[in-house]
Amino acid sequence: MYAFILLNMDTMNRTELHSLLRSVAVVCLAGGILGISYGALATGYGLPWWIPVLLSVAVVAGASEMMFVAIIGAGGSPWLAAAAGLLVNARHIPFGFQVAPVMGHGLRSILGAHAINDESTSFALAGSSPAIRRLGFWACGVGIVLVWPLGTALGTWLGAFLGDLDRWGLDAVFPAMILALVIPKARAGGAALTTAVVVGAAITVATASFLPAGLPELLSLAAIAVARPWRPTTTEPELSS
Amino acid sequence: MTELLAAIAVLAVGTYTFRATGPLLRKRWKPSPALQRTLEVASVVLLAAVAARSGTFHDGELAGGALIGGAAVAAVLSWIKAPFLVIVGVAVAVTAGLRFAGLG
Repeated sequence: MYAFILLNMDTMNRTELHSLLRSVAVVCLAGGILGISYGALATGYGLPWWIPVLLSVAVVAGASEMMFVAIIGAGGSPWLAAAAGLLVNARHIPFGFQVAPVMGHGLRSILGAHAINDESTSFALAGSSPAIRRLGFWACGVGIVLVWPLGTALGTWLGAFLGDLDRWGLDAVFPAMILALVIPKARAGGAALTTAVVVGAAITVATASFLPAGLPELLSLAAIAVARPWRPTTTEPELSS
Repeated sequence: MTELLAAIAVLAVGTYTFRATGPLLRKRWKPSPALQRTLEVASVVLLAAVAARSGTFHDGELAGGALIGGAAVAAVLSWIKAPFLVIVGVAVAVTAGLRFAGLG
């Protein structure tokens, strides 16, 4: 990782690099804390420690794992739990297309695919230059892949000693992190993108109380119609030159 | 037990397939500029939707005012481009404070 940073130094501003690495460190720390509360939650359902840990290593997608353990913890079918988890994770398909250019080819894309998550995709979108986007994706993606299972394992071990982590407002960390990365991006995209983001979020919140988890998020995609990004824009090289 | 392990494998392999589709297809097929813009907008809209849901719902039910308040403050601070740490720190402080004040 350090060699990778050095390679990119000349194309990056020092302050920008420091602020990026600081943000990635905060996101990874938060990921670890979320992992702890997830591990504690899973053992709270009476599940053996290795189930949440195995999920954290093999799936690395918090919302789907929490849903999986909630369903089997309540005595539900594992197949129903897997189907619900896959619905929650379907958003990784567009993420993959979006992140692909910063990942590189060959082995890097095969390994990097596992590091695609909400946080690393946000860094891959939010960076001000290709080098910042690439470093942000890899540092955050690899960080989460390591820190999430470690946090989960710690949480299953600490379990009941922890009490309610939400008392400290930690449930606000995840939405705040994603908003901090995505809203400036939406704002920079102009009124059309901002409107699409607001309409999409409204669709999700309005339907979240009665639709199965995962579906409200996917429905937000209808709001893309507001921005109509498929239309040619005046900023395209062949039109602006 | 076997059934449980098989279900975990299905979730893991399925999720990896979702993630790898874009990166692996990209070698053979490059999305047009219009499709690239659409996918970028899709990612931004989806992430905002994920954030909006996790800031308003907790364990599948509408969250109390504390979480919603913290997430709303984070949204405003993000709009005015506050530093990342400030956004996350203030959101946590607002949520913990409102919860301490009894707002659920």
